[in-house]
Amino acid sequence: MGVGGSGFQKRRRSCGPAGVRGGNGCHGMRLPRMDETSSQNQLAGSGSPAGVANRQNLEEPNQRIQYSIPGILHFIQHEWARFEMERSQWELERAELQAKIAFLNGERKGQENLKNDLVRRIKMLEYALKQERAKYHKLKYGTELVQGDMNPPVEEGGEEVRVDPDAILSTNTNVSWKQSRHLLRQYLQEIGYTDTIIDLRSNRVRSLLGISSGENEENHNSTPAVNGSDTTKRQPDPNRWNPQSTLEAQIRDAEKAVIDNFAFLRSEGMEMDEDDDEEDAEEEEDVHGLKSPKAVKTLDVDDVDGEPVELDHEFPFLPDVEDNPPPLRFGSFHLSDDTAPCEQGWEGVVKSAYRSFCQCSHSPGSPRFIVSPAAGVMGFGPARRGYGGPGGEDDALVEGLGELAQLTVNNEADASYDEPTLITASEDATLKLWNLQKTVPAKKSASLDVEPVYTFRGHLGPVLCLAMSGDGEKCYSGGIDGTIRIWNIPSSNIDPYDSYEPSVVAGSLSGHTDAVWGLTFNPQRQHLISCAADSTVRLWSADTRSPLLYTYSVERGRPPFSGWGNTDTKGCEPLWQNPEMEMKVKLAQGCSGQPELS
Amino acid sequence: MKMADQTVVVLRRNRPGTKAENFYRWCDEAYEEMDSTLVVQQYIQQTIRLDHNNIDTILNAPETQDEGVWKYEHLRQFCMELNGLAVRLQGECQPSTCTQMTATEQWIFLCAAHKTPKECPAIDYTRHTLDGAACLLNSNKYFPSRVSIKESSVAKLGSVCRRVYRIFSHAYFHHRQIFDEFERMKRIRSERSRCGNSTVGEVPV
Repeated sequence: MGVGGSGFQKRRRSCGPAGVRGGNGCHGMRLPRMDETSSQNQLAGSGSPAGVANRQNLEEPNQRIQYSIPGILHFIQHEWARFEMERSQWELERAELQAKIAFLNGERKGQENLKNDLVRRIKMLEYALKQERAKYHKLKYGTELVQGDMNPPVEEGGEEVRVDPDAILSTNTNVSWKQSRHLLRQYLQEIGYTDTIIDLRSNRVRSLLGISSGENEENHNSTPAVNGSDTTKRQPDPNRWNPQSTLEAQIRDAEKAVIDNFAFLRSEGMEMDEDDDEEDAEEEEDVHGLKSPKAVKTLDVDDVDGEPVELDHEFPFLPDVEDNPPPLRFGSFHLSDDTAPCEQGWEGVVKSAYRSFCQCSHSPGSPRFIVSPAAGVMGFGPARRGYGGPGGEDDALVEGLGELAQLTVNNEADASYDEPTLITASEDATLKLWNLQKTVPAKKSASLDVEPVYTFRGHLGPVLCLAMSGDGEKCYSGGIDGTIRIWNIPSSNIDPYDSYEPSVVAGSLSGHTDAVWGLTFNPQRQHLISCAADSTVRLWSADTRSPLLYTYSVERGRPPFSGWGNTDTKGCEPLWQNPEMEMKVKLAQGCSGQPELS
Repeated sequence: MKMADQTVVVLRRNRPGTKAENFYRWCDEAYEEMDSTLVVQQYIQQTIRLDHNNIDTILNAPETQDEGVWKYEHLRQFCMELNGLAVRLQGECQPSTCTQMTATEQWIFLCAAHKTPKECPAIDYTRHTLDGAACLLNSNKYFPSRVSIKESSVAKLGSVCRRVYRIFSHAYFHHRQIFDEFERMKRIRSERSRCGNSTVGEVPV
């Protein structure tokens, strides 16, 4: 600027001695020069050429006016800088646009792949369906079914997995089944196993959390082939996309696998449950239909919906336990027996479904245990991962209620009545508090996880039962160590990695000498009832200093598990069975506070 | 698992009402015969129950077993058992006495469960690390399957192992009595240090 300014000064001076003739010109020039100064202040270079040009126009005869080298250099410098800036801007834009192009390309490729996969899947399903139809028809009518195009879908490079019909029909062909399972696993890996799983699981998580999900993959599951009249009932309305349909699908799968006599099928189904591979579930369903119509009578859970009370007589139960009247038990399971129903209906469903299934499994003579769909439902993830995580519905089918203690397996789950929180107790000696509305944000939107908010540590061994207090502030847990621990439940919005609060541990009730298997809380009287493997039922009052109110011993057998029935103001009705017989004990609490047995 | 031809079936189940002493009283199964998706965990737990001092058997993977899955399942089991130690520490390890997570005097361990590593007191470190390990091992994102482990997630196992081992070190140096009692019961440390060595490479202490 200084240079330009001095150049300017020089020009002025040179204009001065020009005399009158130049004077006008000078004057005339002064104004534009003033402007030029100001513009030179911003951009020195552009001023001077304009000034130079002006001057030249007005003062041609004055040849002494020179371009000043510094001025010129300045000008060039500034122009150069300007060009450079513009160029870099262009480059930036170009790079951005290129990145966008690449991204869109990638996306498109992804979509294409997805589409191809889905198409392949459809073909496989269709093929499987046709196979099954043929088989069924052959069995039923002894003739071949005329079907067009029974060719397996042609894959490029992939090997088609054929389910050998003979293998299915013969008993105990574990080997071939293992092989086909192995093949299937390979194939799944080919088509993007993990991604599909993540998608499916997250969809399920979403559905159970009540988050609407756009894609409805579960609908695949809801269109089984109709084989035989018994299965017609099983078809839920494919359009009903509510949390229960997922639950139903799982329950159905769980059921079928258990009810059936063929272990290999069940194990297949079990693994497939984990994978949620609908094609095999489909196959399994159809095969069931073929096998034995009576075995197909599954627990019809179409009526499981938002109101837990509707788990009722619609259950055509297992054929070989017909003597066992389920309705009583199921009917009496109301989540809302003592307090208002859960806001989120599905929790009620989960809990009541869980309890009902526990009940089924405890009916005498039935050696089978049906997995708690709560365990299945809650445990997403290979381990489940707890919800998201936890455990999957995989192991529980065969292994019993959370025997394989995944880190957070769900033996027992209890839902709070006002907030969407859940507390689960597990064989890994912890209880975990979950906030169902808080999901883990993941970069990849496909994987949706829910993580526990708090972990209650205190038990020295598997925790076997859980009960919530009436107001949802405390919870009680009983474990293999014979203690019942009381916990103050922290808010579900706390930071999971907060400092340790010793106040969460609110005490423990000791008295039982063996594993505590059942707990129930009566909010009207603030009483807790526990039953344990030491053949006693104890009544506790949570508030007083000597909490144990009464101990009731059972002479014969032991009360392994209480189906907690109605808890009304008078008393509570724990039902239990032991291997020898069923015993229903009604503990009615009269005015004296002594329980009466009936 | 009931089969039509009535072969012997192992029901690995503790029925409600089982007494504590009768827990886990089912027949052992050979690894090859186990038929479920959680074979590895089952197998590990079975060998531990048989003899928790027999470290070699516990740590040796069957031949056909994938290394990554084996380590994962061991780490899982490890975290589960370490809960017991954490429960015992809960009483004694107060934030006022153990304000930092240390083992020997040289190192202070920062808790990685937060967005920026934080200097948590020892009991917080223990809780956060165990909870974090549980979440990680269960997360869909890193471990979507239990029969095959993604390559990218194998590295995570090492870091989890390392952090979890620090809980041990702290207990060893600062709460020796609890440590000894727990170790007697479970024999974990020697076992796990060996396992940890293979996973992490070098474990302090």
